[in-house]
Amino acid sequence: MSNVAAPSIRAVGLGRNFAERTAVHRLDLEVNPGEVYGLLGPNGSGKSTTVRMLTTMLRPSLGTAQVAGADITRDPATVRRRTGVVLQGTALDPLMSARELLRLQGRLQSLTARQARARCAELLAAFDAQEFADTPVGKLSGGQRRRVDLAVALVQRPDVLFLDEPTTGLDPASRRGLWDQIRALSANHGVTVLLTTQYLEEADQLCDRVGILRAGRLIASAAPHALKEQAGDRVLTLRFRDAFAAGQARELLTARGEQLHTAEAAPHAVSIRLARPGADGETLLTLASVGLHAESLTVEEPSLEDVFLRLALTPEGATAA
Amino acid sequence: MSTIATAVVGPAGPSATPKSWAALGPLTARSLRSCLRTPALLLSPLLTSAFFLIIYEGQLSSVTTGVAPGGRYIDVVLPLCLLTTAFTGGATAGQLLVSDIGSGYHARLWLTPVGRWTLITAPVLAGVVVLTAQAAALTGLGLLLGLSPVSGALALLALIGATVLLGTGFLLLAAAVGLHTGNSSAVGSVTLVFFPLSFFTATFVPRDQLGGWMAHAADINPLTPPLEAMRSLLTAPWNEQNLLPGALVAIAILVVGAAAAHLALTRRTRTGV
Repeated sequence: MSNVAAPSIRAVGLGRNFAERTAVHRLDLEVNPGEVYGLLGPNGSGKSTTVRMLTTMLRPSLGTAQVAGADITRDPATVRRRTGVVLQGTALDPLMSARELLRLQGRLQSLTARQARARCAELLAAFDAQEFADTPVGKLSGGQRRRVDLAVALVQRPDVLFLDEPTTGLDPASRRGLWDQIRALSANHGVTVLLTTQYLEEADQLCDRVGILRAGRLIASAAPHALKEQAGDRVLTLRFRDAFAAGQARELLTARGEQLHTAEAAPHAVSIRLARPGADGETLLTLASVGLHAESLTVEEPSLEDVFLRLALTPEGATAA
Repeated sequence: MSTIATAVVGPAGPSATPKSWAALGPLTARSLRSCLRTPALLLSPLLTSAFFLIIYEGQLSSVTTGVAPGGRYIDVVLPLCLLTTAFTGGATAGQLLVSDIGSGYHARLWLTPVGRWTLITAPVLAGVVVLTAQAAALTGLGLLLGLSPVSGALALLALIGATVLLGTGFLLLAAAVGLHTGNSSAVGSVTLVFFPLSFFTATFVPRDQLGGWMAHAADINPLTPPLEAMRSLLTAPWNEQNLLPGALVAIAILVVGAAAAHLALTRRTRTGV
Protein backbone atom coordinates (compact mmCIF):
# COMPACT_ATOMS: atom_id res chain seq x y z
CA MET A 1 0.00 0.00 0.00
CA SER A 2 1.39 3.40 -0.90
CA ASN A 3 0.00 5.27 2.08
CA VAL A 4 1.82 3.20 4.67
CA ALA A 5 1.89 5.94 7.28
CA ALA A 6 -1.59 7.28 6.57
CA PRO A 7 -4.01 6.84 9.45
CA SER A 8 -6.64 4.15 8.99
CA ILE A 9 -9.20 6.47 10.50
CA ARG A 10 -8.95 10.21 10.27
CA ALA A 11 -11.75 12.52 11.37
CA VAL A 12 -11.48 16.28 11.10
CA GLY A 13 -14.09 18.44 12.78
CA LEU A 14 -16.62 15.62 12.57
CA GLY A 15 -19.94 16.52 14.14
CA ARG A 16 -23.55 15.47 14.24
CA ASN A 17 -26.52 17.55 15.26
CA PHE A 18 -29.91 16.11 15.96
CA ALA A 19 -32.99 18.27 16.16
CA GLU A 20 -32.81 18.81 19.88
CA ARG A 21 -29.12 18.37 20.64
CA THR A 22 -25.58 18.08 19.35
CA ALA A 23 -24.41 14.51 19.78
CA VAL A 24 -20.83 14.97 18.57
CA HIS A 25 -18.91 18.28 18.54
CA ARG A 26 -16.18 18.75 15.93
CA LEU A 27 -14.31 15.55 16.66
CA ASP A 28 -10.68 15.29 15.54
CA LEU A 29 -9.36 11.77 15.66
CA GLU A 30 -6.60 9.71 14.10
CA VAL A 31 -6.18 5.98 14.46
CA ASN A 32 -3.07 4.37 13.01
CA PRO A 33 -2.95 1.15 11.02
CA GLY A 34 -2.95 -1.92 13.25
CA GLU A 35 -3.84 0.11 16.32
CA VAL A 36 -6.60 -0.78 18.77
CA TYR A 37 -8.28 2.44 19.78
CA GLY A 38 -10.93 2.57 22.47
CA LEU A 39 -13.61 5.21 22.78
CA LEU A 40 -14.83 5.56 26.34
CA GLY A 41 -17.55 7.70 27.72
CA PRO A 42 -20.74 7.60 29.74
CA ASN A 43 -24.08 6.86 28.12
CA GLY A 44 -25.04 9.57 25.66
CA SER A 45 -21.49 10.87 25.29
CA GLY A 46 -21.49 10.31 21.53
CA LYS A 47 -19.59 7.02 21.19
CA SER A 48 -22.17 5.21 19.11
CA THR A 49 -22.98 8.30 17.04
CA THR A 50 -19.28 8.57 16.19
CA VAL A 51 -19.15 4.93 15.13
CA ARG A 52 -22.35 5.32 13.11
CA MET A 53 -20.87 8.25 11.23
CA LEU A 54 -17.53 6.57 10.60
CA THR A 55 -19.26 3.44 9.32
CA THR A 56 -21.55 5.47 6.97
CA MET A 57 -24.71 4.52 8.82
CA LEU A 58 -25.30 8.16 9.67
CA ARG A 59 -24.34 11.23 7.68
CA PRO A 60 -22.30 13.76 9.61
CA SER A 61 -23.70 17.26 9.97
CA LEU A 62 -20.24 18.78 9.65
CA GLY A 63 -16.64 17.84 9.16
CA THR A 64 -15.02 15.08 7.18
CA ALA A 65 -13.55 11.67 7.80
CA GLN A 66 -11.60 9.08 5.89
CA VAL A 67 -11.75 5.45 6.81
CA ALA A 68 -9.37 2.98 5.17
CA GLY A 69 -8.44 5.72 2.73
CA ALA A 70 -11.98 6.49 1.56
CA ASP A 71 -14.12 9.50 2.38
CA ILE A 72 -17.20 8.55 4.36
CA THR A 73 -19.51 10.93 2.53
CA ARG A 74 -18.03 10.94 -1.00
CA ASP A 75 -17.20 7.26 -1.27
CA PRO A 76 -19.27 5.40 1.31
CA ALA A 77 -19.41 2.18 -0.73
CA THR A 78 -15.63 1.83 -0.52
CA VAL A 79 -15.73 2.50 3.21
CA ARG A 80 -18.34 -0.23 3.60
CA ARG A 81 -16.25 -2.62 1.49
CA ARG A 82 -13.09 -2.08 3.53
CA THR A 83 -14.56 -2.05 7.02
CA GLY A 84 -16.21 -4.60 9.23
CA VAL A 85 -18.67 -3.60 11.90
CA VAL A 86 -19.93 -5.32 15.02
CA LEU A 87 -22.84 -3.30 16.26
CA GLN A 88 -24.15 -2.79 19.75
CA GLY A 89 -26.39 -5.80 20.30
CA THR A 90 -26.31 -8.68 17.86
CA ALA A 91 -27.28 -7.58 14.36
CA LEU A 92 -28.25 -10.94 12.92
CA ASP A 93 -31.44 -12.42 11.53
CA PRO A 94 -32.49 -14.88 14.25
CA LEU A 95 -34.10 -17.18 11.67
CA MET A 96 -30.90 -17.60 9.66
CA SER A 97 -28.01 -19.92 10.48
CA ALA A 98 -24.38 -18.83 10.73
CA ARG A 99 -23.67 -20.57 7.43
CA GLU A 100 -26.48 -18.73 5.65
CA LEU A 101 -25.45 -15.40 7.13
CA LEU A 102 -21.81 -15.79 6.17
CA ARG A 103 -22.61 -16.90 2.62
CA LEU A 104 -25.05 -14.06 2.08
CA GLN A 105 -22.56 -11.56 3.47
CA GLY A 106 -19.98 -12.92 1.03
CA ARG A 107 -22.34 -12.44 -1.90
CA LEU A 108 -23.09 -8.89 -0.79
CA GLN A 109 -19.34 -8.26 -0.69
CA SER A 110 -18.98 -9.28 -4.35
CA LEU A 111 -17.80 -12.85 -3.83
CA THR A 112 -19.10 -15.48 -6.22
CA ALA A 113 -21.25 -18.24 -4.77
CA ARG A 114 -18.25 -20.59 -4.76
CA GLN A 115 -15.96 -18.01 -3.11
CA ALA A 116 -18.64 -17.22 -0.54
CA ARG A 117 -18.93 -20.90 0.36
CA ALA A 118 -15.15 -21.20 0.77
CA ARG A 119 -14.97 -18.02 2.86
CA CYS A 120 -17.81 -19.24 5.03
CA ALA A 121 -15.98 -22.52 5.69
CA GLU A 122 -12.80 -20.62 6.65
CA LEU A 123 -14.60 -18.41 9.09
CA LEU A 124 -16.66 -21.19 10.64
CA ALA A 125 -13.41 -23.08 11.29
CA ALA A 126 -11.59 -20.03 12.63
CA PHE A 127 -14.35 -19.23 15.08
CA ASP A 128 -15.01 -22.81 16.15
CA ALA A 129 -18.52 -22.42 14.83
CA GLN A 130 -18.93 -25.58 12.72
CA GLU A 131 -20.79 -27.26 15.54
CA PHE A 132 -23.65 -24.76 15.40
CA ALA A 133 -23.22 -23.57 11.82
CA ASP A 134 -26.68 -24.70 10.75
CA THR A 135 -28.61 -23.73 13.88
CA PRO A 136 -30.73 -20.58 13.63
CA VAL A 137 -28.76 -17.89 15.44
CA GLY A 138 -31.83 -17.07 17.51
CA LYS A 139 -31.25 -20.38 19.29
CA LEU A 140 -27.56 -19.78 20.06
CA SER A 141 -26.05 -18.47 23.29
CA GLY A 142 -25.00 -14.84 23.57
CA GLY A 143 -21.32 -15.77 23.22
CA GLN A 144 -21.95 -17.91 20.15
CA ARG A 145 -24.03 -15.16 18.53
CA ARG A 146 -21.22 -12.68 19.15
CA ARG A 147 -18.73 -15.01 17.47
CA VAL A 148 -21.01 -15.29 14.46
CA ASP A 149 -21.43 -11.52 14.46
CA LEU A 150 -17.67 -10.99 14.46
CA ALA A 151 -17.20 -13.63 11.75
CA VAL A 152 -19.79 -11.88 9.56
CA ALA A 153 -17.93 -8.60 10.05
CA LEU A 154 -14.73 -10.23 8.79
CA VAL A 155 -16.10 -11.79 5.59
CA GLN A 156 -14.60 -9.11 3.35
CA ARG A 157 -11.20 -9.18 5.12
CA PRO A 158 -11.60 -5.62 6.39
CA ASP A 159 -8.73 -3.22 6.94
CA VAL A 160 -10.64 -1.53 9.74
CA LEU A 161 -12.95 -3.12 12.28
CA PHE A 162 -15.48 -1.17 14.32
CA LEU A 163 -16.75 -2.78 17.50
CA ASP A 164 -19.56 -0.97 19.28
CA GLU A 165 -19.69 -2.30 22.84
CA PRO A 166 -18.91 -5.80 21.59
CA THR A 167 -18.86 -7.59 24.92
CA THR A 168 -21.96 -6.11 26.51
CA GLY A 169 -24.09 -8.92 27.89
CA LEU A 170 -21.44 -11.61 27.53
CA ASP A 171 -20.35 -13.87 30.35
CA PRO A 172 -16.72 -13.46 31.53
CA ALA A 173 -15.44 -16.49 29.60
CA SER A 174 -17.02 -15.32 26.34
CA ARG A 175 -15.69 -11.82 26.96
CA ARG A 176 -12.14 -13.08 27.42
CA GLY A 177 -12.48 -15.19 24.28
CA LEU A 178 -13.55 -12.18 22.28
CA TRP A 179 -10.64 -10.17 23.68
CA ASP A 180 -8.23 -12.87 22.46
CA GLN A 181 -9.73 -12.66 19.01
CA ILE A 182 -9.55 -8.88 18.88
CA ARG A 183 -5.90 -8.99 20.00
CA ALA A 184 -5.12 -11.58 17.34
CA LEU A 185 -6.78 -9.51 14.63
CA SER A 186 -4.71 -6.50 15.50
CA ALA A 187 -1.40 -8.09 16.43
CA ASN A 188 -1.22 -10.86 13.86
CA HIS A 189 -3.15 -9.41 10.96
CA GLY A 190 -2.70 -5.66 11.25
CA VAL A 191 -6.40 -4.93 11.40
CA THR A 192 -7.13 -1.50 12.81
CA VAL A 193 -9.74 -1.70 15.53
CA LEU A 194 -11.90 1.07 16.92
CA LEU A 195 -14.00 -0.12 19.81
CA THR A 196 -16.39 1.55 22.16
CA THR A 197 -16.90 0.07 25.56
CA GLN A 198 -18.35 0.73 28.97
CA TYR A 199 -15.88 -1.71 30.52
CA LEU A 200 -12.73 0.12 31.54
CA GLU A 201 -10.88 -3.12 32.16
CA GLU A 202 -11.61 -4.03 28.57
CA ALA A 203 -10.12 -0.80 27.28
CA ASP A 204 -7.12 -1.22 29.56
CA GLN A 205 -6.51 -4.77 28.36
CA LEU A 206 -7.07 -4.25 24.67
CA CYS A 207 -6.38 -0.72 23.61
CA ASP A 208 -3.13 0.85 22.48
CA ARG A 209 -4.79 4.23 22.96
CA VAL A 210 -8.06 5.36 24.42
CA GLY A 211 -10.09 8.47 23.86
CA ILE A 212 -12.56 9.77 26.40
CA LEU A 213 -15.73 11.40 25.17
CA ARG A 214 -17.84 13.65 27.31
CA ALA A 215 -20.99 15.29 25.99
CA GLY A 216 -19.84 14.72 22.42
CA ARG A 217 -16.36 16.15 22.89
CA LEU A 218 -13.10 14.22 22.90
CA ILE A 219 -11.55 15.42 26.15
CA ALA A 220 -8.55 13.10 26.29
CA SER A 221 -6.74 10.77 23.93
CA ALA A 222 -3.60 8.85 24.90
CA ALA A 223 -2.20 5.47 25.80
CA PRO A 224 -3.87 4.02 28.91
CA HIS A 225 -0.64 4.26 30.95
CA ALA A 226 -0.20 7.91 30.00
CA LEU A 227 -3.74 8.70 31.05
CA LYS A 228 -3.20 6.88 34.33
CA GLU A 229 -0.09 8.90 35.01
CA GLN A 230 -2.13 12.05 34.51
CA ALA A 231 -4.75 10.76 36.90
CA GLY A 232 -2.60 10.85 40.03
CA ASP A 233 0.33 9.37 41.96
CA ARG A 234 0.95 5.76 42.76
CA VAL A 235 0.36 4.79 46.39
CA LEU A 236 2.87 2.65 48.34
CA THR A 237 1.42 0.76 51.30
CA LEU A 238 3.77 -0.83 53.85
CA ARG A 239 2.51 -3.26 56.48
CA PHE A 240 4.51 -3.69 59.68
CA ARG A 241 4.44 -6.33 62.37
CA ASP A 242 2.66 -4.01 64.82
CA ALA A 243 1.18 -0.55 65.21
CA PHE A 244 4.25 0.71 67.10
CA ALA A 245 6.57 0.05 64.18
CA ALA A 246 4.04 1.59 61.84
CA GLY A 247 3.89 4.69 64.04
CA GLN A 248 7.70 5.03 63.97
CA ALA A 249 7.68 4.73 60.19
CA ARG A 250 4.92 7.30 59.90
CA GLU A 251 6.86 9.81 62.02
CA LEU A 252 10.06 9.25 60.09
CA LEU A 253 8.42 9.63 56.71
CA THR A 254 6.49 12.71 57.77
CA ALA A 255 9.73 14.27 58.99
CA ARG A 256 11.24 13.54 55.57
CA GLY A 257 8.36 15.43 53.94
CA GLU A 258 6.66 12.43 52.39
CA GLN A 259 2.98 12.85 51.64
CA LEU A 260 1.01 10.33 53.70
CA HIS A 261 -2.01 8.81 52.01
CA THR A 262 -4.80 8.94 54.55
CA ALA A 263 -7.06 6.39 52.92
CA GLU A 264 -5.16 3.51 54.57
CA ALA A 265 -6.82 3.08 57.96
CA ALA A 266 -5.13 -0.06 59.37
CA PRO A 267 -3.03 0.87 62.45
CA HIS A 268 -0.08 -1.34 61.47
CA ALA A 269 0.12 0.03 57.93
CA VAL A 270 1.48 3.20 56.38
CA SER A 271 0.62 4.53 52.92
CA ILE A 272 2.43 7.27 51.08
CA ARG A 273 1.96 8.88 47.68
CA LEU A 274 4.84 8.25 45.29
CA ALA A 275 5.18 11.58 43.59
CA ARG A 276 8.39 10.83 41.66
CA PRO A 277 10.06 7.82 39.99
CA GLY A 278 12.19 5.79 42.37
CA ALA A 279 10.47 7.14 45.46
CA ASP A 280 9.42 3.65 46.52
CA GLY A 281 13.01 2.38 46.70
CA GLU A 282 14.21 5.49 48.58
CA THR A 283 11.46 5.04 51.16
CA LEU A 284 12.38 1.43 51.82
CA LEU A 285 16.06 2.31 52.18
CA THR A 286 15.24 5.13 54.60
CA LEU A 287 13.20 2.84 56.80
CA ALA A 288 15.75 0.02 56.63
CA SER A 289 18.50 2.42 57.75
CA VAL A 290 16.74 2.76 61.14
CA GLY A 291 15.83 -0.91 61.39
CA LEU A 292 12.23 -0.66 60.25
CA HIS A 293 11.39 -3.52 57.91
CA ALA A 294 7.97 -3.87 56.36
CA GLU A 295 6.42 -7.36 56.35
CA SER A 296 4.70 -6.68 53.04
CA LEU A 297 4.30 -3.89 50.58
CA THR A 298 1.94 -3.07 47.72
CA VAL A 299 2.06 -0.36 45.07
CA GLU A 300 -1.30 0.75 43.69
CA GLU A 301 -1.39 2.32 40.25
CA PRO A 302 -4.23 4.68 39.34
CA SER A 303 -6.67 2.69 37.25
CA LEU A 304 -8.33 3.67 34.02
CA GLU A 305 -11.46 3.88 36.13
CA ASP A 306 -9.82 6.68 38.14
CA VAL A 307 -9.04 8.45 34.89
CA PHE A 308 -12.54 7.93 33.62
CA LEU A 309 -14.17 9.13 36.81
CA ARG A 310 -11.95 12.18 36.87
CA LEU A 311 -12.35 13.16 33.24
CA ALA A 312 -15.64 11.84 31.98
CA LEU A 313 -17.96 12.10 34.93
CA THR A 314 -16.98 15.36 36.55
CA PRO A 315 -19.09 18.35 35.56
CA GLU A 316 -18.12 20.06 32.33
CA GLY A 317 -15.51 22.76 32.90
CA ALA A 318 -14.53 21.40 36.31
CA THR A 319 -11.75 19.08 35.17
CA ALA A 320 -8.10 19.61 34.64
CA ALA A 321 -7.32 17.03 31.98
CA MET B 1 -11.82 -20.30 22.08
CA SER B 2 -9.23 -20.43 19.33
CA THR B 3 -7.44 -17.40 18.03
CA ILE B 4 -8.03 -16.48 14.46
CA ALA B 5 -6.32 -18.37 11.67
CA THR B 6 -4.15 -16.45 9.26
CA ALA B 7 -6.47 -17.09 6.34
CA VAL B 8 -9.35 -15.30 7.98
CA VAL B 9 -8.17 -11.75 7.68
CA GLY B 10 -5.52 -10.00 5.72
CA PRO B 11 -4.98 -7.53 2.97
CA ALA B 12 -6.59 -9.49 0.14
CA GLY B 13 -10.00 -7.89 0.32
CA PRO B 14 -12.24 -7.85 -2.73
CA SER B 15 -11.17 -5.01 -4.96
CA ALA B 16 -14.39 -4.35 -6.84
CA THR B 17 -17.47 -2.73 -5.44
CA PRO B 18 -20.19 -5.36 -5.81
CA LYS B 19 -22.88 -4.91 -8.43
CA SER B 20 -26.17 -4.18 -6.76
CA TRP B 21 -28.10 -6.08 -9.43
CA ALA B 22 -26.04 -9.17 -8.68
CA ALA B 23 -26.85 -8.85 -4.99
CA LEU B 24 -30.58 -8.67 -5.66
CA GLY B 25 -30.86 -12.42 -6.32
CA PRO B 26 -29.31 -13.58 -3.03
CA LEU B 27 -31.22 -10.91 -1.09
CA THR B 28 -34.54 -11.88 -2.67
CA ALA B 29 -33.85 -15.57 -2.05
CA ARG B 30 -33.13 -14.73 1.57
CA SER B 31 -36.40 -12.78 1.86
CA LEU B 32 -38.27 -15.74 0.39
CA ARG B 33 -36.68 -18.07 2.93
CA SER B 34 -37.78 -15.66 5.66
CA CYS B 35 -41.35 -15.90 4.33
CA LEU B 36 -41.19 -19.68 4.36
CA ARG B 37 -39.92 -19.60 7.94
CA THR B 38 -42.74 -17.28 8.98
CA PRO B 39 -45.84 -19.26 8.01
CA ALA B 40 -48.17 -16.48 9.13
CA LEU B 41 -46.86 -14.27 6.32
CA LEU B 42 -47.64 -16.94 3.75
CA LEU B 43 -50.83 -18.43 5.04
CA SER B 44 -52.71 -15.65 6.78
CA PRO B 45 -53.69 -13.67 3.64
CA LEU B 46 -54.44 -16.86 1.74
CA LEU B 47 -56.57 -18.45 4.45
CA THR B 48 -58.47 -15.22 5.08
CA SER B 49 -59.35 -14.82 1.40
CA ALA B 50 -60.14 -18.52 0.99
CA PHE B 51 -62.44 -18.33 4.01
CA PHE B 52 -64.33 -15.37 2.56
CA LEU B 53 -64.52 -17.03 -0.85
CA ILE B 54 -66.07 -20.18 0.55
CA ILE B 55 -68.48 -18.29 2.83
CA TYR B 56 -69.60 -15.76 0.20
CA GLU B 57 -70.01 -18.44 -2.44
CA GLY B 58 -71.81 -20.78 -0.04
CA GLN B 59 -74.17 -18.22 1.47
CA LEU B 60 -74.82 -15.73 -1.29
CA SER B 61 -74.84 -17.78 -4.49
CA SER B 62 -78.35 -19.09 -3.84
CA VAL B 63 -79.82 -15.61 -3.19
CA THR B 64 -78.04 -13.84 -6.02
CA THR B 65 -79.29 -15.91 -8.93
CA GLY B 66 -79.09 -13.82 -12.02
CA VAL B 67 -76.54 -11.41 -10.57
CA ALA B 68 -73.65 -12.87 -12.50
CA PRO B 69 -73.78 -12.60 -16.27
CA GLY B 70 -72.81 -16.25 -16.63
CA GLY B 71 -75.02 -17.33 -13.78
CA ARG B 72 -72.09 -18.40 -11.55
CA TYR B 73 -71.67 -16.29 -8.45
CA ILE B 74 -68.08 -17.50 -8.01
CA ASP B 75 -67.21 -15.39 -11.09
CA VAL B 76 -68.39 -12.31 -9.19
CA VAL B 77 -66.93 -13.03 -5.80
CA LEU B 78 -63.51 -14.49 -6.69
CA PRO B 79 -62.15 -11.13 -7.94
CA LEU B 80 -63.21 -9.55 -4.64
CA CYS B 81 -61.27 -12.19 -2.71
CA LEU B 82 -58.25 -11.76 -4.97
CA LEU B 83 -58.42 -8.02 -4.33
CA THR B 84 -58.40 -8.73 -0.59
CA THR B 85 -55.38 -11.01 -1.09
CA ALA B 86 -53.59 -8.25 -2.97
CA PHE B 87 -53.68 -5.84 -0.07
CA THR B 88 -53.37 -8.31 2.80
CA GLY B 89 -50.53 -10.16 1.05
CA GLY B 90 -49.10 -6.78 0.13
CA ALA B 91 -48.09 -6.29 3.74
CA THR B 92 -45.45 -9.03 3.35
CA ALA B 93 -42.60 -6.75 2.28
CA GLY B 94 -43.31 -4.29 5.07
CA GLN B 95 -43.40 -7.04 7.67
CA LEU B 96 -40.11 -8.48 6.43
CA LEU B 97 -38.47 -5.06 6.72
CA VAL B 98 -39.90 -4.46 10.18
CA SER B 99 -38.64 -7.84 11.29
CA ASP B 100 -35.13 -7.01 10.04
CA ILE B 101 -35.18 -3.59 11.66
CA GLY B 102 -36.27 -5.17 14.95
CA SER B 103 -33.52 -7.79 14.92
CA GLY B 104 -30.85 -5.28 13.91
CA TYR B 105 -30.09 -7.23 10.75
CA HIS B 106 -31.32 -4.36 8.62
CA ALA B 107 -28.42 -2.29 9.99
CA ARG B 108 -26.03 -5.09 9.10
CA LEU B 109 -27.36 -5.11 5.52
CA TRP B 110 -27.24 -1.31 5.45
CA LEU B 111 -23.48 -1.58 6.11
CA THR B 112 -22.80 -3.65 3.00
CA PRO B 113 -21.58 -1.89 -0.12
CA VAL B 114 -24.57 -2.86 -2.28
CA GLY B 115 -27.02 -0.15 -3.34
CA ARG B 116 -29.49 0.48 -0.57
CA TRP B 117 -32.39 0.31 -3.00
CA THR B 118 -31.79 -3.43 -3.11
CA LEU B 119 -32.70 -3.67 0.57
CA ILE B 120 -36.25 -2.55 -0.19
CA THR B 121 -36.53 -4.14 -3.63
CA ALA B 122 -35.60 -7.63 -2.42
CA PRO B 123 -38.49 -8.00 0.06
CA VAL B 124 -40.86 -6.51 -2.51
CA LEU B 125 -39.75 -9.08 -5.11
CA ALA B 126 -40.15 -11.84 -2.56
CA GLY B 127 -43.62 -10.48 -1.85
CA VAL B 128 -44.42 -10.62 -5.57
CA VAL B 129 -43.46 -14.31 -5.67
CA VAL B 130 -45.53 -15.04 -2.56
CA LEU B 131 -48.47 -13.07 -3.90
CA THR B 132 -48.34 -14.95 -7.20
CA ALA B 133 -48.49 -18.24 -5.33
CA GLN B 134 -51.35 -17.00 -3.15
CA ALA B 135 -53.34 -15.73 -6.15
CA ALA B 136 -52.75 -18.98 -8.01
CA ALA B 137 -53.87 -21.03 -5.01
CA LEU B 138 -57.01 -18.96 -4.57
CA THR B 139 -57.81 -19.19 -8.28
CA GLY B 140 -57.34 -22.93 -8.00
CA LEU B 141 -59.86 -22.97 -5.16
CA GLY B 142 -62.21 -20.97 -7.37
CA LEU B 143 -61.92 -23.63 -10.05
CA LEU B 144 -62.83 -26.24 -7.48
CA LEU B 145 -65.90 -24.18 -6.59
CA GLY B 146 -67.04 -24.05 -10.21
CA LEU B 147 -65.20 -21.13 -11.75
CA SER B 148 -65.47 -21.22 -15.52
CA PRO B 149 -64.13 -18.08 -17.22
CA VAL B 150 -65.51 -17.10 -20.59
CA SER B 151 -62.01 -16.49 -21.98
CA GLY B 152 -60.51 -19.69 -20.64
CA ALA B 153 -56.98 -20.13 -19.26
CA LEU B 154 -55.80 -16.79 -20.61
CA ALA B 155 -58.35 -15.06 -18.39
CA LEU B 156 -57.11 -17.00 -15.38
CA LEU B 157 -53.51 -16.01 -16.06
CA ALA B 158 -54.56 -12.39 -16.56
CA LEU B 159 -56.53 -12.54 -13.31
CA ILE B 160 -53.47 -13.72 -11.40
CA GLY B 161 -51.36 -11.09 -13.18
CA ALA B 162 -53.83 -8.35 -12.27
CA THR B 163 -53.77 -9.43 -8.63
CA VAL B 164 -49.97 -9.33 -8.61
CA LEU B 165 -49.84 -5.96 -10.39
CA LEU B 166 -52.24 -4.45 -7.88
CA GLY B 167 -50.50 -6.21 -4.99
CA THR B 168 -47.08 -4.87 -6.02
CA GLY B 169 -48.32 -1.35 -5.39
CA PHE B 170 -49.49 -2.42 -1.94
CA LEU B 171 -46.16 -4.20 -1.34
CA LEU B 172 -44.30 -0.98 -2.08
CA LEU B 173 -46.62 1.08 0.12
CA ALA B 174 -46.25 -1.35 3.01
CA ALA B 175 -42.47 -1.48 2.52
CA ALA B 176 -42.35 2.31 2.66
CA VAL B 177 -44.37 2.35 5.88
CA GLY B 178 -42.25 -0.45 7.35
CA LEU B 179 -39.00 1.30 6.52
CA HIS B 180 -40.27 4.63 7.76
CA THR B 181 -41.72 3.43 11.06
CA GLY B 182 -40.10 0.08 11.80
CA ASN B 183 -43.45 -0.78 13.28
CA SER B 184 -45.51 -3.87 12.53
CA SER B 185 -48.83 -2.27 13.49
CA ALA B 186 -48.17 0.65 11.16
CA VAL B 187 -47.60 -1.78 8.30
CA GLY B 188 -50.87 -3.50 9.19
CA SER B 189 -52.63 -0.16 8.95
CA VAL B 190 -52.05 -0.18 5.16
CA THR B 191 -54.37 -3.18 5.04
CA LEU B 192 -56.78 -1.48 7.43
CA VAL B 193 -57.10 1.48 5.06
CA PHE B 194 -57.93 -0.62 2.02
CA PHE B 195 -60.06 -3.32 3.65
CA PRO B 196 -63.06 -1.04 4.35
CA LEU B 197 -62.70 0.45 0.87
CA SER B 198 -63.31 -2.99 -0.60
CA PHE B 199 -66.83 -2.85 0.90
CA PHE B 200 -67.69 0.58 -0.50
CA THR B 201 -67.72 -0.72 -4.04
CA ALA B 202 -69.58 -3.30 -6.08
CA THR B 203 -68.59 -5.85 -3.47
CA PHE B 204 -71.21 -8.52 -3.89
CA VAL B 205 -73.04 -7.44 -7.03
CA PRO B 206 -72.06 -5.71 -10.29
CA ARG B 207 -72.03 -1.92 -10.09
CA ASP B 208 -75.07 -1.46 -12.33
CA GLN B 209 -77.15 -3.24 -9.73
CA LEU B 210 -76.18 -0.87 -6.93
CA GLY B 211 -78.43 2.01 -5.98
CA GLY B 212 -78.54 5.13 -3.81
CA TRP B 213 -75.45 6.39 -1.98
CA MET B 214 -73.67 3.09 -2.41
CA ALA B 215 -73.64 3.56 -6.17
CA HIS B 216 -72.04 6.99 -5.70
CA ALA B 217 -69.49 5.56 -3.26
CA ALA B 218 -68.61 2.85 -5.75
CA ASP B 219 -68.22 5.44 -8.50
CA ILE B 220 -65.51 7.32 -6.62
CA ASN B 221 -63.88 4.32 -4.94
CA PRO B 222 -60.43 3.71 -6.51
CA LEU B 223 -60.84 -0.02 -6.01
CA THR B 224 -63.91 -0.19 -8.24
CA PRO B 225 -62.08 -0.08 -11.63
CA PRO B 226 -59.63 -2.89 -10.78
CA LEU B 227 -62.44 -4.99 -9.32
CA GLU B 228 -64.59 -4.54 -12.41
CA ALA B 229 -61.66 -5.26 -14.69
CA MET B 230 -60.96 -8.50 -12.87
CA ARG B 231 -64.61 -9.46 -13.01
CA SER B 232 -64.77 -8.74 -16.70
CA LEU B 233 -61.98 -11.27 -17.24
CA LEU B 234 -64.29 -13.97 -15.90
CA THR B 235 -67.71 -12.87 -17.04
CA ALA B 236 -67.13 -11.35 -20.48
CA PRO B 237 -65.11 -12.08 -23.61
CA TRP B 238 -61.59 -10.62 -23.61
CA ASN B 239 -61.80 -6.88 -24.17
CA GLU B 240 -58.92 -4.51 -23.46
CA GLN B 241 -61.32 -1.61 -23.03
CA ASN B 242 -62.81 -3.31 -19.98
CA LEU B 243 -59.36 -3.78 -18.50
CA LEU B 244 -57.87 -0.37 -19.15
CA PRO B 245 -59.39 1.64 -16.22
CA GLY B 246 -58.45 -1.08 -13.75
CA ALA B 247 -54.93 -1.31 -15.15
CA LEU B 248 -54.51 2.45 -14.88
CA VAL B 249 -55.57 2.43 -11.23
CA ALA B 250 -53.20 -0.46 -10.48
CA ILE B 251 -50.35 1.40 -12.19
CA ALA B 252 -51.21 4.57 -10.28
CA ILE B 253 -51.03 2.66 -6.96
CA LEU B 254 -47.73 1.18 -8.13
CA VAL B 255 -46.30 4.61 -8.90
CA VAL B 256 -47.49 6.03 -5.57
CA GLY B 257 -46.02 3.00 -3.78
CA ALA B 258 -42.68 3.34 -5.58
CA ALA B 259 -42.52 7.04 -4.78
CA ALA B 260 -43.32 6.36 -1.13
CA ALA B 261 -40.65 3.66 -0.97
CA HIS B 262 -38.11 6.00 -2.55
CA LEU B 263 -38.95 8.74 -0.05
CA ALA B 264 -38.71 6.33 2.88
CA LEU B 265 -35.31 5.13 1.67
CA THR B 266 -34.06 8.67 1.14
CA ARG B 267 -35.22 9.71 4.58
CA ARG B 268 -33.60 6.69 6.20
CA THR B 269 -30.35 7.44 4.40
CA ARG B 270 -30.51 11.01 5.66
CA THR B 271 -31.46 10.27 9.24
CA GLY B 272 -29.38 7.12 9.56
CA VAL B 273 -30.12 3.62 10.78
